[in-house]
Amino acid sequence: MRVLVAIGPSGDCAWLARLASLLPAATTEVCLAHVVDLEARRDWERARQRFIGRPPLPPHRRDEVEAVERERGRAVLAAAEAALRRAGCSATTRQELLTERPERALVALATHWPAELLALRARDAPGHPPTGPGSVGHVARFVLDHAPCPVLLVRATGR
Amino acid sequence: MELQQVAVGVIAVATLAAVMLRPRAIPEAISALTGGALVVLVGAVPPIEAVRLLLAAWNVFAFFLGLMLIAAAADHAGVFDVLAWLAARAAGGSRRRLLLNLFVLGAGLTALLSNDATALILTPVVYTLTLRLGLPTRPYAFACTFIADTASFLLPVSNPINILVLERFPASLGDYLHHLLPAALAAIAVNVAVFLWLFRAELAGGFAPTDLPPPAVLALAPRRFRLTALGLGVLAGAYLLAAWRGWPLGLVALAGGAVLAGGAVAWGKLAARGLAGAISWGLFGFIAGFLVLVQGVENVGWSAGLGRALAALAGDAPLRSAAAAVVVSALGANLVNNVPAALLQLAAIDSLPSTPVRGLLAYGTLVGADLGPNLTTVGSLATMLWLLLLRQRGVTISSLEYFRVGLITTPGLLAAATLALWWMGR
Repeated sequence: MRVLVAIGPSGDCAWLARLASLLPAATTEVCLAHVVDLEARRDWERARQRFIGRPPLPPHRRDEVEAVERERGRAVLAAAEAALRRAGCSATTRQELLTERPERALVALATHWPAELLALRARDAPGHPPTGPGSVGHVARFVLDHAPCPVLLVRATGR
Repeated sequence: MELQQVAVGVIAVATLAAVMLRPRAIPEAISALTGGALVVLVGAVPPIEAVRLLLAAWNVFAFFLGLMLIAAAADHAGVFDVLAWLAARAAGGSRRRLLLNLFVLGAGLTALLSNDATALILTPVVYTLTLRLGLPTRPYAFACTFIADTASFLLPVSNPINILVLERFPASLGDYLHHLLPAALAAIAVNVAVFLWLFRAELAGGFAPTDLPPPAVLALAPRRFRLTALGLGVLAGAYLLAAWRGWPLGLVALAGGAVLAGGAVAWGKLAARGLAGAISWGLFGFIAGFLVLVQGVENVGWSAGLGRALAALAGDAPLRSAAAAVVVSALGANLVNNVPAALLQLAAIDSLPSTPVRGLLAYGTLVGADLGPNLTTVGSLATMLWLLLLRQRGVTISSLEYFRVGLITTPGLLAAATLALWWMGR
C-alpha cells in the first residue's frame, strides 16, 4: 500500500509515532510530502504595494528567501523521516518538497503518484482545540473534501 | 462657481480615483503627474508657480532620495541581517521576547531610517530568520509591517510624510517631540500589547537560538558591515543635530546616502545599476504631481471649502480637534494613499483662520497619515475590496488576515495616539 503523509511546517514530529502505529500492515511505500506555502511570503510582498513605485524584492534577497524556504522544507522532511523510522516504520520512504498552496498540491500529488491512503494531522498550528470546532485546519478540511483516496486524519489527542 | 473651479475639482477627483483604482495598471506617478499637468493647463497654477513650487520642495525630494540610498547601502552591507540575528539571540529562546525584540528593532530602524526601510527591508530578513528557526512566520512578519507605521512619528525623519507636514507647518525638534513622542510611544505600547494577545497561541513556547548561524556578512565582509554601521550611527547623530538646529533634513539624508551608497559602489561591492534599481523613482513623480495638483486645489478655493468642513468636524475642543484630524487623515490614507490625503488636509488646515487648535490639527494629520495605513496594510481600500471580491469568487486570499489584524489593531493605535496628542497639547 502506498501512503502519502503530509508534513506541516511546524516541524512537530510527535504525531508521527501515533501515525506509525495506525498505518496498515500492508504499507510498503511512504511518501513524505511538505509543501512550502507561498501565501505567507506573498502576504508581506503584497504589503509592498502601498509604497509607490517600489521595485520588487532585490534578486539577492529573493534568492535567499527561496533558498531558506527549501532548506527549511528539507529539514522538516528529514526530521519526519527520522521520527517515522524511530517509531518502527519499515516501509520504503521517499520525500517530496513542493511549493504553492498546500491543500491543492497534496491532492494533486495523491492523484498523480497515486496514493492509496493520505495521512495528515488535523491541524499543524498550535493554539486550537484538540476536538470540536476549529480543530481541523483549512488544509486538512480541503484534503478531506477533495482527496482521491481514503484519508487518515490524526488528531492531537491521538484519537 | 467658476468653470476653472469645476475643472480643477473634476481633475482632482479623477486623479485620486486613478491612483485608487489604477485603471489599466497605470502607475500612480503617471496619474499624479497628469493631474498636476492638467491643473497647469487649465490655468489654475501658472507654470512659473508650478516650477517655483517644485524647486521649493527640494528638501522633500532630497530627503526621499537620501533615505532610499541609505536603506539600500545598509541592506547591502547586511546591517538588517545582523541586527535581526542579534534580536533573535537576545530573545533567549522565547518566542514572545523575540517578538518584543523585533518591535524594538523595528521601532529603532523606523525612527532613523524611516518606515520604508522597516517594511520593505526588515520584513524579508525577519521572514527568513523565523523560517530558519522553525517559527510561525506570520506574527513576526506582521510585527515588522505594523511597527513600520506605528513608530513612524517617533522622529521627524521616521516617515517622509513627516517632512511634508513639517515643510508646511514648521516646528522645532523640541515642539515636535513634546507633542508626538508620547503619542508614538503610546501607539507602540498598544501595538505590542494587542499583538501579544492576538498571537498568543503562536507565541507560546520557545525556540532553539543555537539553530541560527551568524549572518554570512560577518564572515565575508566584516569591515564593510562595521563601516556601514558606524556611518549609520554618525548619520543618526547628524539627523538629531540638524533637527535640533533647524537645518534641512534633506541635506543630511542626501549627504549620508551619497557617502554610504557611494562608498559601497566605489568599493566595488554594490553595482551602480543595482543601486539605481533600489530607488523608487516613481515616488518623485507622484509627489511632484500631487504638490502641483494640491496647489491648484488651493488656488481655486477648494481647500477653503475642505477647511470649513474640517473645522466644522473638529470644533474648538482640543480632544475633538485632534480626533477629527487623526481620523480624517487615516481614512484618507486608506481610501487613496497617505501622501495626497495629507497634502489635501494640510492645505485645508492652512486655509483656516488662526485658531488655537491649528497645531493639533496639523499634528493630528501627521499621526493619521502615518498610522492609518496599518488598517489596510496591503495597500488601499480599493485593494482590499478587490481581495474581498476574489474571495467571494472562491479564491482564498490570505491577505485578508492582514485586514483582520489591521481592523483589530488600528483603532486602538489611533485612539491611544489621539489621547496622548490631546494630553500633550492641552
